Amino acid sequence: MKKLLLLPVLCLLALSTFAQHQLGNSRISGDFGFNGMYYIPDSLIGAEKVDSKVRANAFLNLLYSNGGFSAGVRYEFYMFPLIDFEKINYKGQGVRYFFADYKNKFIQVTAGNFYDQFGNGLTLRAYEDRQLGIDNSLLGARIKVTPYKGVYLKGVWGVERLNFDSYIGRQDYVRGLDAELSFGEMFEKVQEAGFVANVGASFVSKFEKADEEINVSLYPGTDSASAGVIPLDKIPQNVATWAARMSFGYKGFRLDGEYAQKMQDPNVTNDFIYKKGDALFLSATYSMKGLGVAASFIRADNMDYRTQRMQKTNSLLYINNIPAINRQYSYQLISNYSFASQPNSQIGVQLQVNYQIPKKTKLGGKYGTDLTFNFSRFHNTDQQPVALAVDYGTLSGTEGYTSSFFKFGPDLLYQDIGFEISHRFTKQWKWILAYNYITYNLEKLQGHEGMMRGHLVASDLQWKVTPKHSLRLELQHLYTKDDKGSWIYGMLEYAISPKWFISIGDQYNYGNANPEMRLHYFNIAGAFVWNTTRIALNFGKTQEGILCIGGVCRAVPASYGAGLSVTTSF
Amino acid sequence: MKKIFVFITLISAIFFFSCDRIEGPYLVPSENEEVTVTFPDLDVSSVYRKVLIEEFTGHRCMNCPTGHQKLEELHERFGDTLVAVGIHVGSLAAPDVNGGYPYDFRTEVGDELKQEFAIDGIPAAIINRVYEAGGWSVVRWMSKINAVDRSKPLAAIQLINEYNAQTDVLKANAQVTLLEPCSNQLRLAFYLIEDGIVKPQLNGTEYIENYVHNHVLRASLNGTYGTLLNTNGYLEIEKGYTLSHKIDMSGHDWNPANCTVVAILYDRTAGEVLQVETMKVM
Repeated sequence: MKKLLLLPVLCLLALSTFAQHQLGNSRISGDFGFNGMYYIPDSLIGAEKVDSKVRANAFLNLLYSNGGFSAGVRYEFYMFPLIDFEKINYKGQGVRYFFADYKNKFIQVTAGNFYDQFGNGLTLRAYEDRQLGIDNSLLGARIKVTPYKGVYLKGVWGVERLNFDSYIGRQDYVRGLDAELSFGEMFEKVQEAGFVANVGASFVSKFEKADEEINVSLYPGTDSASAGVIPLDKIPQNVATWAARMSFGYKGFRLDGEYAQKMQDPNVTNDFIYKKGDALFLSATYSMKGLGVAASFIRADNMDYRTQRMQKTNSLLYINNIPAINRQYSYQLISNYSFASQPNSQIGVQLQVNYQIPKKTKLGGKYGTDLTFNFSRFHNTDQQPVALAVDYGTLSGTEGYTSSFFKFGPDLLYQDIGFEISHRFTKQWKWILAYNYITYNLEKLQGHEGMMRGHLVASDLQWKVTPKHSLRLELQHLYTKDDKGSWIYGMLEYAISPKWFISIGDQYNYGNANPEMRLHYFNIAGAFVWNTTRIALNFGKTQEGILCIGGVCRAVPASYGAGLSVTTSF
Repeated sequence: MKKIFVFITLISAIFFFSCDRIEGPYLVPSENEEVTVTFPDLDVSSVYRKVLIEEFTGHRCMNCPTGHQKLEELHERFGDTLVAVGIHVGSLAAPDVNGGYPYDFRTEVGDELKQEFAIDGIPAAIINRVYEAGGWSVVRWMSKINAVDRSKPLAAIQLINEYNAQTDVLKANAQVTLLEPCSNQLRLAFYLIEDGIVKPQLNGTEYIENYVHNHVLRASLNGTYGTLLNTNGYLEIEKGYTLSHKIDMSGHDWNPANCTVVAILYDRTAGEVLQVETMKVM
């Protein structure tokens, strides 16, 4: 109860800070967020009864800075969190983020919690995504040195955050080094000639005490079924990854690439195999007036890298991040079919071409017409079990498999072929029309059976009624015979900028094979913005599914009810 | 500049060695035995949650008989729903030949448990391994047992022992069925305990030569915290997982007729015993 009372006290503290955020050279800033919901059970959509009826997440960030010195602290109150967060065990309260930092031109030192990323994150990415309930911050120390113009060195050392668990008794931690050379900054002539050239390398190692041997079932399902064990002295306690990267650019062209390798890391996500993991990320872009082309390639095999070898809960204790390179959409109807990055087995390509039909032409009209073509396709990696694994009937405790580096595996994970036209007719009217054909492997990505093949048509019509008033109508239709069948979606949004916003929308699963499940998921929302404070209300239903941000996903339970969200910064 | 690069190289070298290289083969034959017995169908309605009390004691501990007596009272009250394991630990359990206590009750398992649960004084006990550092004093045992939620069983353990009198080898077989979901890794430990050991004990200031020691921990068949029931230790609900382990009882002064196998299903992550079951060796 005492802890509950802390919440309003913290709110008051946040508000009172408005008046005192500038004291000489010192500055105090921060932000506060509250996200609560009143839950109503609905057995049809699967919204469970929530005994406490009202749940909420709240946090307060405070940051003090004075010259090169800064210090910060975050209090989080998730004792009775939104059910989404309870499902992923993000539950508790307290200060799990605090730091002190000093920097000058030569050095930056941080003690406490920090977030950081080496290169594209293939070896290390400590980050936070509050919407997903991810906080992989490291508690420890970080040093950044710039010994010479264009030379950047970083060292980190820390224990990774695990929800609201205390760090006491933890037997795992991470250490890493990163170096980057920017030739453009080192040699002015390179920059003057229009070149961008950077190279970098990183090395990360985790330690986790091996205090539990690993049991393995041998010859499963046969008459000679028996057991094996990986003894403690065969479990690597120090597991390293290294990566080398480069980026090169000249005028409108840019090429980025990074290759990473992970050493022996038998863990629960890779079936305790001893094969090295590797990942390659390549990206090339070219842009000129009216035309942009971007192509990317990624391959990741056995790159699930976490501080605890027995951790398999989605997004917990990841040290690195294998990015999802597919185009990200905000379309409501395909949000449940977003590609989730597969660090242990994915190979794929992404291609996007943007072309603008010039202004003042027949097709381009007064403002030009933007065309976007997109193609992405991801498979699992090729994996051929080693002879010992075939003999044992399990990959565990062996080298696992061999893999041909550029060969696509047999299972299609995700494919998206999309086309989008965006045209402004007048200053007041703008229309975006999109078509996507999505193929989504439900079994590999969500654990359900089968594939989803669906056609999505989306229309977004925007009308600026007056300079301050605008209306937006969004219509979507997903046609599919798979999974839950076809859906339509409509949403009307009215905004009086910059303070007011209201919307009403509905998703209708009209194509569900079960007539009783042809349900509506309506939503009414409104928001008011006053300076840096935003207060939003919504009422409606959310279907069970997944929420993905940048290829990182979490499950979303079905819910029905009214929500209140307050955010403010100062 | 040069110094900085030397520094970086040195630091990099340190990190470079922060990686273990393991040579194969990685797998060795498990001490887990093949399960050869057939378990009867589980009648869930007959399963109830049992409570484990691990009592830390010592034959030269003058107050420990108070704990033994309390355990007897608790046994009378809770019947077979309470499973006791007596663990002789610490300096007061060490043999003292000159003092009249030549026997060594201590075990490696017991020493590890003492360290894990920070037992610094005896008599003390932990209930279902939910504890505070140092364990609970005798007066709190009853209330701590009552505090265990026994409204529904979390798991069922079926036990079958196979004892070969010729070879003096015991094989314990267990089938574990999870009845409530558990997202943590679970381990099953087989402990061997013995009743009716007649050895000296200090009681207050009195030296009792023929004291009867009951439920004394003798050994574990598969380590202090047991072993996983499958590859990763995560169990599906309502699915039977089997595990067998052997122990060679020859060469010990243990009386098989007085010995019992205690199977402990332990969630080490949450720090709680989910279920405990016993079966006489013969």
